[in-house]
Amino acid sequence: MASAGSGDEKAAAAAMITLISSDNEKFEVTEATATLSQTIRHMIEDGCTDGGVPLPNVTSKILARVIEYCKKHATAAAGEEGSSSSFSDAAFLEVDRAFLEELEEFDDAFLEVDRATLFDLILAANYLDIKGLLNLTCQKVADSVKGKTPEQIREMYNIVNDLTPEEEAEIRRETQWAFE
Amino acid sequence: MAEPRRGSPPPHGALAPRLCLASRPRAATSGTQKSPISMEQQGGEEAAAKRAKRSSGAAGEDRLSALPDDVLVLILLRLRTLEAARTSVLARRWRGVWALLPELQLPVFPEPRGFSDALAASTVPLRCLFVGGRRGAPAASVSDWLPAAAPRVAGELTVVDIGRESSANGGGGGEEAEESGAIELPCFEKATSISFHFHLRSVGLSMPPAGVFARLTDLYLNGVWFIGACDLGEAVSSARCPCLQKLTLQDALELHNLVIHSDSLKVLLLWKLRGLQQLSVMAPVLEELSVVKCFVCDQTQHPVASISAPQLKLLKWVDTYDPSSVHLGEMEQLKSLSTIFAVYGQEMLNHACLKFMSCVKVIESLTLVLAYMQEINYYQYLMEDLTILPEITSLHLIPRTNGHSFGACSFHILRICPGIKQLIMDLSDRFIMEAQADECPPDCICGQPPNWKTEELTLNCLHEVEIQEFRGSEHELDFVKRLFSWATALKRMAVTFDCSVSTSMVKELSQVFRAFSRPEICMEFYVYHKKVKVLYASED
Repeated sequence: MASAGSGDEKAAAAAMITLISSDNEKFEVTEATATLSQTIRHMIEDGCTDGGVPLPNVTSKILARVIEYCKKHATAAAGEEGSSSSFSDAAFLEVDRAFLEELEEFDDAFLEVDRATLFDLILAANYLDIKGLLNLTCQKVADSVKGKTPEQIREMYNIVNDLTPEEEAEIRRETQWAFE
Repeated sequence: MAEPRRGSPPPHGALAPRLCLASRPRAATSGTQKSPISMEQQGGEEAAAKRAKRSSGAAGEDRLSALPDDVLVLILLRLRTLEAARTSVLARRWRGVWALLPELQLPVFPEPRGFSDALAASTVPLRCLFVGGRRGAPAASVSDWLPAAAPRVAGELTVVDIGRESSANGGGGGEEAEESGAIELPCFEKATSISFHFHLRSVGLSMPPAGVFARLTDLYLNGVWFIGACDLGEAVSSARCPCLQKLTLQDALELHNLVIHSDSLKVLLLWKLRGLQQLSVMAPVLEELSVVKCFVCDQTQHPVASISAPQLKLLKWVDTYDPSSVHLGEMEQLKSLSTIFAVYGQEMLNHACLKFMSCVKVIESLTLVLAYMQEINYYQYLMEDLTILPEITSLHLIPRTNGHSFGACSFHILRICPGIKQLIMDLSDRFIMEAQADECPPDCICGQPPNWKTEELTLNCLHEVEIQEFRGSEHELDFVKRLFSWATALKRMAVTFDCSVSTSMVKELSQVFRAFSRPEICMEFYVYHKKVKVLYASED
């Protein structure tokens, strides 16, 4: 298992996948990076990635960011696998911790984007099924509305209140228990 | 493998930006038709351009509401449940979104009618429903929404009331049960775990007279008294709880008879049921049984128990015992036994322990609580009654000393099990009150008989000693010093200092240990740092 596995890994490391953005830009990425996306992972398993993977609803700008995220986190995932194999040395743990901290810093910096980009990233993460990126971006939105009143949330996200006063009163009655 | 795995369609139709994978006519693209993305290829560009235009985003656009339901649910899951529910007033789009949440956690008891209606308004399975808090609520209010929760909970249901703050402080307050109404438990057919925790209260609970808890594996009931026509034992037996693996009943009242027939039960914990008269358990795969302070025992009543659990591995019995009415069947798999022995007092206190010691032949580990009353001078010393122990590998002693020396009784026990390999002394004596002086008066009889201070004992199999929650009292030090001389083959000793021991005392005490120790013994010291046990590294 071990030797066959490592052979496969080498082959996988060498295998490149081409991702094509909606504006027809091509991105070459390693399979390890690409398979952070469950959607692409399934396509690879089904053998339909020859000639590139068109992603008609991800722009090159967003795809570049998504790939940046996946590259960083693919290295992290590889690192985790390596360290959990047999070494539990203090030195290794130290390296792991430093790496995790670095990863957190990366994530924080990665989220320093304008709101439109944030929503594009959410949609891309959802479409490509990249769990880590989806969690990260959704957390950012959740943090932004925490502790806000409905009025503040509407204002912050340009939500138009299309409820009639009667409807709103009715919903408030229904959710009175949540406002107490 | 062919279908997109995140392809669950959004429940509401109005969700623009998510690709609608299935509805497009299948274009004959190269390769297979399996992939959602290749299906999307043709005709996708136009839409993509539209999307690109949209995502470049005019200010003022509502991108949040345009997210698909499953993404909004992911966002709302990261808010407190009450906050998530309040989003329903944002706009029409938001009205039903929070109802899609698969987890609800309310840190306060909600207004019951409204919450009941809210639960009933959705059919999304709940993997977690937690309601609870400190403020408390009349039990009837819980009863109001439970019926609406029953069809929805497909995972864990937890109801916790840890009591109002006023009753939470004051040491002895826990003994008084405060009645707060009754709960009728409906049948939760899909729930895997149900947990009711009414601390400092006693809530009437009636089990549903019919229905099968088809997926329930874990049931925990704390602080309830049983009412209603349905018998608890019947409700938790195999016929109505076919998957139940763990049953915990704690601080429950009015449970006089408990008869359980379960083919699935692995763990049964009965703690402080106070008033149990009859216990009957038929559980062929039961591995752990704990009976602590459950039975009524006075002149008129004796515990009646019949246990058939041939696979039992762990038995804890800290309760009265009457050999004529308590029947424990064959327990050939037993590995660990835990019970209590009263060092002073009346003989009858030790019936259970003595019975176990004589009938259990070989086990891996034995745990004994050695109980002292505060005032022992006028009571009989009972250790001489204990003449035989099972053949054991590991001995775990828990002296509950009330400030007395535990040297004499520990010596007595060690003398009758010279073959042990491991000894654990747990000194976390919770019966010491804060105000009480740590040690008994100098003229106390607890050091009697005095042979433990002088007589030799050779424990030449004992390789490992663990001392937990060491405080450094004179009684403790006296015992430890003797232990080093008895344990002639000791290889390792680990000492954990109690959190009350100051840093300077830790240093001093660890030096005392080193002075007692021998070069071949590996000494390890542990201290508590923010409630976590960590290895103590001396500065030198």
